[in-house]
Amino acid sequence: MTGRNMSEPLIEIEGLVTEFRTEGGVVRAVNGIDFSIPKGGTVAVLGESGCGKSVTGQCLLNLVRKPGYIASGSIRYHGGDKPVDITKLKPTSEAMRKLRGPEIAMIFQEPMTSFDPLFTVGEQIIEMLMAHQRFPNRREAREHAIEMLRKVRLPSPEIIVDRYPHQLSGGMRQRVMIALALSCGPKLLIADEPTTALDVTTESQILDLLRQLQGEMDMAMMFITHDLAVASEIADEVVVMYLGYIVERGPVAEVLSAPQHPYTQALLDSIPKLTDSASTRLNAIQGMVPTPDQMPSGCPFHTRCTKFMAGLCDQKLPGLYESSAGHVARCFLADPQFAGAAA
Amino acid sequence: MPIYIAKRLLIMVPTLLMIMVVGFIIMKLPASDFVSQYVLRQAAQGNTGIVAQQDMLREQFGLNRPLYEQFFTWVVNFFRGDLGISFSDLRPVSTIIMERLPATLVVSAMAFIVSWGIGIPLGVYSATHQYSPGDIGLTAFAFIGIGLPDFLLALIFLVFAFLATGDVLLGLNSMQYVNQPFSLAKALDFLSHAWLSVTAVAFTGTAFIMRVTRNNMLEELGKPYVMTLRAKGLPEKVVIWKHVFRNALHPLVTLFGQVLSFLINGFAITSIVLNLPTIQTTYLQATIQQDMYLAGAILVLIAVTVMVGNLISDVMLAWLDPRVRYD
Ligand SMILES: Nc1ncnc2c1ncn2[C@@H]1O[C@H](COP(=O)(O)OP(=O)(O)OP(=O)(O)O)[C@@H](O)[C@H]1O
Ligand SMILES: [Mg+2]
Repeated sequence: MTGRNMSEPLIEIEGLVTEFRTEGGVVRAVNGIDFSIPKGGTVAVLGESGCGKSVTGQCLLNLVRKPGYIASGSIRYHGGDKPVDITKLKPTSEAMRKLRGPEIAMIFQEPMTSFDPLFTVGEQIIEMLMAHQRFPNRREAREHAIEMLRKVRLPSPEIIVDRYPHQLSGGMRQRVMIALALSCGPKLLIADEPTTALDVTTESQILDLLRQLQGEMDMAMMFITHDLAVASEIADEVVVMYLGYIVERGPVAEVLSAPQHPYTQALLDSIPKLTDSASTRLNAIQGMVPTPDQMPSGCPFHTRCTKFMAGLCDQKLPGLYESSAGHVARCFLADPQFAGAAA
Repeated sequence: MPIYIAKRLLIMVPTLLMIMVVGFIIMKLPASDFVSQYVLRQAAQGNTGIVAQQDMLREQFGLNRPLYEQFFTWVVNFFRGDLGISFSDLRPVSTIIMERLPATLVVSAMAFIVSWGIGIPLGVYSATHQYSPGDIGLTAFAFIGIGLPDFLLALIFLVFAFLATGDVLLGLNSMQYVNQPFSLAKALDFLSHAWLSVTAVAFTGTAFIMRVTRNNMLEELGKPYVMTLRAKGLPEKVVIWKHVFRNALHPLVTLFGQVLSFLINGFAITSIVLNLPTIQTTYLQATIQQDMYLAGAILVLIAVTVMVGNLISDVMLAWLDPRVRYD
């Protein structure tokens, strides 16, 4: 996606806060995040389980379920005639409904449970096409559904179209999910760990497919993953999340080659390398991820950080400091003034 | 599918025979029989002469023959369509059942239609508006409905109806219409009586169906596929009624299998408390008096409705859910 004007955003997220009302009090799953996705570009959202990746994706479609809600912030979408703030739309409103599918579509994390078991996969694509008046009748919609199934390279799509979800394998279902998400030609695709549930071979096939279709359809993508290798393969930009905060954000090459935040560094270190001898231990990040309801004071990562500075990191939340153009990290060590003062 | 249904129907014959064996044994377990009870009752009223006729009565009813002979005569005649006679009123069992069945079916069917027709939409509303004032109100209503037995509700209604109008709404018809042939006036009189028992039974039924629907709907609403449906930009109505509700129907369909037997055996206690001329009161009396051919025939009728009802619900499940397999 190089050579594109990256300054033209399709969607801009600003100060987004999403909370869940639980028995133990209000839990912040997303904690004031900012990032934008350019038209046709790909942003990978990285982070460990529970850091708020899926919830962020759901926010873009205004789909957060009760007891969750968007507490503040804005999500400005520029794909339509005039910009609209998605957080201002009612989740059940007609305006929101019309955005879901033709403008923004989502591939869900669980291919096994993301389909209604009682309907054929064809019907589940056709009803979406009909809900957005893509075709005058069901027969044409069905033709298009078969066409989409062929596009995601499912064998004999005219047979698969009449299959029920339980009759398909996980990989096939994930392909159907992609066909479904792409069937209305969205401008933004949110792919929530589309390959996590699959084996490695299927994973790389699906990634190739997504990349190819993205080029064909000129679509932007928010790619959620916890796999750095996958992110480096597919994304232009990465957003690293930790406990609902963005801890680092920047162009993929820079973040991966010169990570600024100790968390990103630790993530990179924890990837096994082919050059490692069998006896080297993996550098797993020490400690456990705290749950969002036991949010640490100050920097959310300080409880596990190897560069923890007492009296500072546990007192104050660091800001986002820019190290190079568009590359920011939420760490005092990345603050040029701090580095200068320390030296 | 037709083969499957035929198989299931065929299996019903041995099942029914088993039920008849067990039912027969249970009826024969007490040391007394219909005649000894009858004689005791008559003697209590001063008619001591009847004691001498005991053996003659037994012979007349065939109660003096060996048990296996009695059983086989009953079963063979039964499958030939002769259900025997009632000892207590000496008419054919089939006549008595046909006399009682229409009123029973009308009252139960009305209660059934009301409880499902109201309970399901209210349950869906409750689930889609969880914790709203409407849901909380309906939940309170459901606890009262489920907590209070229907016969108690019927009694409460009876008292209030009496205080309001001075009528005692026992039975299903006013005195002057009992034993009269069917007429419009009798039908209206029937409704003016039946509303009480129907409402009492339907109140409990509605509360129950509503809770079952609500629970199923909430469980389904929490599943990941619902988010996919919404992400597709389907109207919320389609998400709820076409998809979530259909998935939530599963346990309701299973319950539906019991509806057929409910129609015949649904509210025995209410029937007895309100002295309704339904088959339930007949069944209870026949059992107490050891009027064995009458009780046996009703038992078989109930057994058949349970079996047919289960078959219907299994067929409906297979039609509803592509994952259900049968062999
Ligand atoms: N229904 C809910 N009730 C309460 N808290 C919730 C709920 N759903 C999500 N959360 C909170 O939001 C946080 C983020 O969840 P999310 O599903 O976005 O994680 P994730 O980054 O996608 O993880 P994974 O990699 O496992 O998919 C969770 O840690 C949890 O605390
Ligand atoms: Mg997730």
